[in-house]
Amino acid sequence: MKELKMTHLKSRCCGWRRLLFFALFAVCSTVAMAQGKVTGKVVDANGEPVIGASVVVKGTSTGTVTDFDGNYTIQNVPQNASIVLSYVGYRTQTIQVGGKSTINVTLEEDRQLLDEVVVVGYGVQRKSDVTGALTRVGEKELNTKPVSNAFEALQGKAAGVDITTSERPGTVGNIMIRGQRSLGGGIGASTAPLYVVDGVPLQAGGIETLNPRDIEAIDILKDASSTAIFGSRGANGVVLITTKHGQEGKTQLSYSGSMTFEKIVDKSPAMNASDYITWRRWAYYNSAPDKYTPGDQPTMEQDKAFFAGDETALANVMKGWSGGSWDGSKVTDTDWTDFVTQTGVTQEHNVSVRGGSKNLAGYVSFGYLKNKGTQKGQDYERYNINASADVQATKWFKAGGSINASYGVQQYGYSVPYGTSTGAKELYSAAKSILRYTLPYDEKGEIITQPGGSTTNTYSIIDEWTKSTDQRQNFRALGSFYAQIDFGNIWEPLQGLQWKTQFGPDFRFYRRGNFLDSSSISRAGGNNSASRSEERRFAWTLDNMLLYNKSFGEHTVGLTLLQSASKTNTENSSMSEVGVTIPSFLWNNMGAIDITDSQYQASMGTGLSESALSSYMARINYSFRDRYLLTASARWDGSSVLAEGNKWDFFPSMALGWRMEQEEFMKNVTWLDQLKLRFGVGVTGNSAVSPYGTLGVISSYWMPFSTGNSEIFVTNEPYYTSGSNSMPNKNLGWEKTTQWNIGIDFSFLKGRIGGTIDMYKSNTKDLLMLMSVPSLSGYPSMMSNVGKTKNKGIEVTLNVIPIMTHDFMWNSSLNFAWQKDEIVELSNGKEDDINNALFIGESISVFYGYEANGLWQESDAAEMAKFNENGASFTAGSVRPVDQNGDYKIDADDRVILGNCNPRLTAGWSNAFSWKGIELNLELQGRFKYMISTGGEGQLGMYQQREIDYWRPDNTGADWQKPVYSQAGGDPYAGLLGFKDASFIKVRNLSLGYNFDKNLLSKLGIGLSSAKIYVQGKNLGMLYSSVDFMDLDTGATFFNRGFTVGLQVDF
Amino acid sequence: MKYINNKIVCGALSMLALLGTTSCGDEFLKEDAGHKVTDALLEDEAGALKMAAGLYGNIRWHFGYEWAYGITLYGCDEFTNGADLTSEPWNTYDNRLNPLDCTPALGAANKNCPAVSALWDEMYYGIATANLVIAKAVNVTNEDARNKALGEAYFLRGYNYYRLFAQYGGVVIQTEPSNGEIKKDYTRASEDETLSQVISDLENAYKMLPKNKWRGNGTWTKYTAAHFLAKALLYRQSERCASWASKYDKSADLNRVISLCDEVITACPLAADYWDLYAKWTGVDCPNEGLSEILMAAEHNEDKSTQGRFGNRTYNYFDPQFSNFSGGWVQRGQYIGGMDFQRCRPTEYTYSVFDNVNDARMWKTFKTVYGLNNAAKADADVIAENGITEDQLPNIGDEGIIFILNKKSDHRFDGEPYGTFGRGGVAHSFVNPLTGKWVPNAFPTFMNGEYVLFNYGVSGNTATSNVFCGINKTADGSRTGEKGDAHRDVIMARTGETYLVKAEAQVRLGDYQGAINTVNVIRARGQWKDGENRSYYTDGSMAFLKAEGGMSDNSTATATSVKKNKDKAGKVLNNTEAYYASMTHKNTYYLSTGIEETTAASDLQIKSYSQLPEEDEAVLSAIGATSDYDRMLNFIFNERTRELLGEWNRWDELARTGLLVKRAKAFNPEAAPNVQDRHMYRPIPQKFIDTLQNPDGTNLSDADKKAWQNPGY
Repeated sequence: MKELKMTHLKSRCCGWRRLLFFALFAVCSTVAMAQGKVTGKVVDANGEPVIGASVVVKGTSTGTVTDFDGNYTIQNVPQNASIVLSYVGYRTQTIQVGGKSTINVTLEEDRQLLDEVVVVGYGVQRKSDVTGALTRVGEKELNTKPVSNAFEALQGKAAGVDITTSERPGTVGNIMIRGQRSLGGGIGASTAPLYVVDGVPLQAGGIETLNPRDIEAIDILKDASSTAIFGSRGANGVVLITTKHGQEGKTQLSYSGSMTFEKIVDKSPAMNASDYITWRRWAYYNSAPDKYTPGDQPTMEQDKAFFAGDETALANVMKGWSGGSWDGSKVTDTDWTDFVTQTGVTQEHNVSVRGGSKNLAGYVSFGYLKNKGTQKGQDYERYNINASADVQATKWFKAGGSINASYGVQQYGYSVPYGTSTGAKELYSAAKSILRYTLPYDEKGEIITQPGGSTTNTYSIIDEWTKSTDQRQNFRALGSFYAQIDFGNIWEPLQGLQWKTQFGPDFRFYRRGNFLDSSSISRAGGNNSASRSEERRFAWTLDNMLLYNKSFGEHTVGLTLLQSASKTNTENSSMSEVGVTIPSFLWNNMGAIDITDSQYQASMGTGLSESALSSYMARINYSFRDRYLLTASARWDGSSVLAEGNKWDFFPSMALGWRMEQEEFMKNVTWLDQLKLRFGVGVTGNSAVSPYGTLGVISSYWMPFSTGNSEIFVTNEPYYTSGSNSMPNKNLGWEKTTQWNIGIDFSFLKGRIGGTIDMYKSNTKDLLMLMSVPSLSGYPSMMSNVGKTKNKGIEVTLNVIPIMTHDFMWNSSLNFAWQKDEIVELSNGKEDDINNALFIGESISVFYGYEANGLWQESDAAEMAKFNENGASFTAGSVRPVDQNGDYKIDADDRVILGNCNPRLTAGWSNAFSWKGIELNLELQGRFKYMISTGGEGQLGMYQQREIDYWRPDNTGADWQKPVYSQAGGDPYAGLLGFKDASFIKVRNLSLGYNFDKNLLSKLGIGLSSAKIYVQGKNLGMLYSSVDFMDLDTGATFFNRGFTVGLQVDF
Repeated sequence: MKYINNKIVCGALSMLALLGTTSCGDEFLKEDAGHKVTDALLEDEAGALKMAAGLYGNIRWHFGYEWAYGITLYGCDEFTNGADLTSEPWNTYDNRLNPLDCTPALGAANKNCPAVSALWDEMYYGIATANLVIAKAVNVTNEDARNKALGEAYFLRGYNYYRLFAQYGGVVIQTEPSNGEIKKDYTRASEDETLSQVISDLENAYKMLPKNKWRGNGTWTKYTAAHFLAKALLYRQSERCASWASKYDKSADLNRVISLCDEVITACPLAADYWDLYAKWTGVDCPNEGLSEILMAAEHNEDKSTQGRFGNRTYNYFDPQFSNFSGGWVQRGQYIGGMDFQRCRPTEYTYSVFDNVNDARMWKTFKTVYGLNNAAKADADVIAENGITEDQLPNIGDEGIIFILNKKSDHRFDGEPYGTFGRGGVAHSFVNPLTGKWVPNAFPTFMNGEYVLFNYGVSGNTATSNVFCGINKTADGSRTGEKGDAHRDVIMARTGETYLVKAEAQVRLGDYQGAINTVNVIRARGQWKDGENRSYYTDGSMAFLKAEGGMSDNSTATATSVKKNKDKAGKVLNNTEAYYASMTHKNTYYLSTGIEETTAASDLQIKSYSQLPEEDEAVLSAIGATSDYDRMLNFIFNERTRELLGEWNRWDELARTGLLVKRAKAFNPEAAPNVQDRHMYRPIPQKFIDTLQNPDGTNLSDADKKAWQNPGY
């Protein structure tokens, strides 16, 4: 019912727009009669022409805009009329014509208006009036480099906003604002922020599908006094995105495009054949020192046994013995990654048109992205369309809307290692794991399918990119439509009163098709397999707002009342089968098999998930003498996913601001432009848990009896599924965070130095947590409101202009944020939850386990013996765990907290140098003081190994333990060496651009108003990294490096 | 104009107000779970019966993953670990076997190491479902249907408490559904109370379950309940209960055991031939899965809908790592019924305890030959490297790997007169005297009076050898990929064991000759029959092809594998050809025993309890069993090995009788250094203890927590 109404509204809205277009055209063409012609030139204080300024005959709809030289001409101006000249950022002037035919005007900047306008929840505010902690990243900053999504553009730009990198095209990194408060990670409420696009909270995915070129600005609300306006969804911060809309002024046509060329760079390449052979010999020796010779004393007989199983490979190893004694350089070294890599080429094109008159403004853009990956078989193509229009229908009614649509097709490439969940997930890793002493083809030229023989369970990747198809399509359409009534323009006494209704539908369709040919290594001799799955999400939000803004003398009051409802609906379906009769069917003719025949393993499934949220909100903004500011808000939210009786809750906030520079006693401090103190407190909520959790969901499966399959019901049956049903919690309620924020905004020396400092502290209670319960209940866990966390931090942003001459300018912006989160209470009060590695008084995400104290050495024999008496099997060269309690037993009591997973400190530093038309941008980003687990080096002697410094009797100071030949096992403590302290500073962007001279461009006569070309380095490298074999930013040992050339032109 | 404007405004306002009221009512925030299965469905008859059928889903868990062997076969006398150390702590009893789940962070080789909490949780999930069925059975109006459902619920609850009792001792007894109430204060029942709960549930099941397999194969019947009731009563009179069980009348318990066993033996007779049970598995739901001897089995078939997460993974655990050590001569694939994950390596004891000449069960259990299914090396190289002649070259379908299951006293191979033994990668010259062909992988069990089989492993470390002769009880030729899941049922109880339960009860009553007579019945079945070809071999791989007796051809039979199998001409074998090459239908009987070919019947009958077979005497002397009772109890356990090797309950049985430590120390070299008395009980999972609170909501003190734990952990 609801949805029907919405679609109706949508179509009507489009109808309106079309009608208005025609009406406007009609008006424009019919108005023409009366008297004189007025011409003139509009310039700014510096004498520069003002382009696109509006010139209107007062009280009529007759008007025009200034051209490229600031000139204008208006026909038929009555002698006694006045003309009104206006332009954004300048004071509007009204001038009597008085018979003159030439009126030249110098527009003055309006300081008041120039004050940046920022987006806050449910409205905009002048930045100087803002009382909360927020950061704005504008179009200019967003466009310093070409990015494939808005996240990348934001990285390092905003203090307290930590964003990680994902390299696979079409995927995005993780974002965390002001650290962690909720448990997240599948055991608690989500830590993701709320995204709001043009006033519409997103519910069917994030912002990765938006074309970053369509984004005007991103405002990030960080403290609770500003996020509480979003109540139950504001706990992890709010990211407000404003897309480009049309604006009054000259119509602008823009094109931007870029080409990027990339190659894979591997920070920890695999051991070459010769090194590997030596390393494997050591592994054998270490496994049975009494049977084999040490790795540096090889024998041919041993090698025949060590490298048996693949005759071609063994013959290759034997080449090393061809001279009688061992010479590893004679062995052919196969770098398998060469077969699967290619130069990645990305091209991106965007065309947009933007313009508008007084009553109608519009923006249309089209974007295209094609990305050929650096690994064979990976490919991504995306189309973006964005259209928006705003119409002032009458002086009291305005309506508008925008649609953002994107369609992407991703060839995911190799993704499914056969029969294991631990194998390589992409072709490059799969290739890297193949033994380098092996060869791809035998002497007859045929592919060797298991290089090295069946010892290692690795398969050749030759031609694999043609045998495995994984295609993912994604369509997303995001709308935002509004209508508003200005009552003051209907009836004067109601001046300042507005009604606004906003509707935001969000639609997403995802389809994945997967086909693995029977010849694919991932099927290992089985039948081919096909699967197809779909997910359709539809979500909408409807907001009704009553707004009132009014000044009474020195008092200014703003009031916002909101009623809001939103709903999401997700449907999914999937089907799969094996043994597709004709492989070219792929997943497109799945009914062609006999689905009742079990040999085809046909299966299908569908699902539905719905949730709803209903809200009321009231907010008041009050300022006295433009220097004492107050914001207070109250929001009530009801959520469907919570238990009956606990669905509703209340989220208040309050903030105060003091603009000190406005005070009389500060007026004569000339170097001070701005000094504002802010204080805010607010309560936000989090109910980001799955639907139906309170309803007693059980499971149904099938049980095979020889008489047929029977449907069965069980509460939990891990045999059938890894996801268990949680015990229904009939009292589940909101997780609530209270946050205090103190901030200061300052600007000195006419803007040469400016910045913001914020300090915050927050307490979260009724933590949503998947609490372990005794399995006697039939359930392993129950989602509960238990526990408390707290969190504090400081954020500093500094903007300085160290050099500013006529030609040369250096703009520098530095931000850093420090934060620390801490667990206060858990499900059993002040009791650690060791199973989930949660500890009272520690950070929420930590590594917990044994500490490593390097490696055991021969000289430690006596010490090792004491452990070995207690059942350990330490030998020289194996990992030495720390026996914390000194009982000569490594057991659970020796575990300690090793480090925290989230960085304590994040920082970004952007620099822009411009000299005449040349621009140089340098952006650095860093994350500091956290820990990662690289997993250590298993060193089982049988699988391919990356180049490492391993322990040998003649290399006892090695980084890693000695290899031991083993199927599964090896050194049980090998993983401990993988915990690494992480900190890095990365060159996020280095680009050089040239802006063509505008005068030169205008002489071209093709209407070009600006043009820029640039070249940019991508992933140039780290200035500092605490781990050398890994890119700490992408979290992988290999990454793409390349460069981009691009062009931006405006007409 | 103004009037109209006002009208529009008022209209819009009232419309929006209306929208507001409808959208924010309770209805809007109400969740509709109509498309979900919720506990509300249990309130009617159909739902309650579906939940009863759900009890059967619970027992499939045992064979889905590594815990299948980790908690039942490791750390005993029959098997030790191969080179794969996934579940090593369960075999070696080292520090990592403690109340915490062993994860890689705690030193596990990988994340598949069975958690100590795994069985605990799973058994309680089943018990919770059983409790619900018992509570909801009132919704079933048909009395017959209700009794069946109740019988099944009592059975599973009794069975699961039995498994908990066997592993942990006394546990928490929960016999009511939780009804959504979260409870965190529990008390641990005594061993006596726990076993009494088992017996009482199984008594109820025995009364209520029908005699016929009305659901088809796998249905729990009165006899399934009788078998486990007999085991539970036998448990009460076993050594682990000695400290408290004296209040129960020993002879009453044991005589009840005997009468229950007799009831089962009569109603559910033994299969005619030992290999009908395992080796002659011909396909999904084949006739042998319906043998009367099978009292309980975890059901599987090949339907995608029933597969679950794991299917039947037991086909992975018993084969040696032939794809690794064979030098490429024997490749793996679905045409060989078992994957070579080499988890369970038989010990010297296991090979020794069989009479290799007369006991057909040995040759119907061990897979001694793998056919050569890939020409791994050029002929000329084979001749040059191994020092053999051209006519000794083997071809596809000849012996690729052989294990000689000889005796310690066998000296025929001393000095390696037929050429040297070894695996594929190592030059060796063994030519099988019976075939005249060089065998790429040939291994004796004993040489020079020494156990040598564990010397041939690739790593060179005898504690982690990947070369051993494995057993075939899980082989499955219906798998459709190299790592495709298996589809055969897993037998959890059968009349063969019932005989041994009865015999043990007789031993405990002092009726030693009666026990011998009982055991002689199953030994009779284990004899070679008159006219039988003793060198013939088969296993469940035969389900691969209809021509081999399978129910149907495997759907991948004509597919070409990933080109791993080639003949000497370089031609790639398809799966059918690879099957024929791998399955020689031959064992090493005559090579292993050295006896003349014969088709006469053999004799395994024991005349008197004072004259036990020499294999048994060797075991008895190794562990120092001298009294009649000790000798006979250990004899029963030797016979259990011969009859029930690898059948998923060895640890429970050894712990029950207190033989665990003694026999593991004597026969499992990897367990021997660490195993001690405390290991007769598993640690109570810390994960469970940590969820507990006192009745007043306060946390347990450290002392309280310690009190929950079994001694020594």
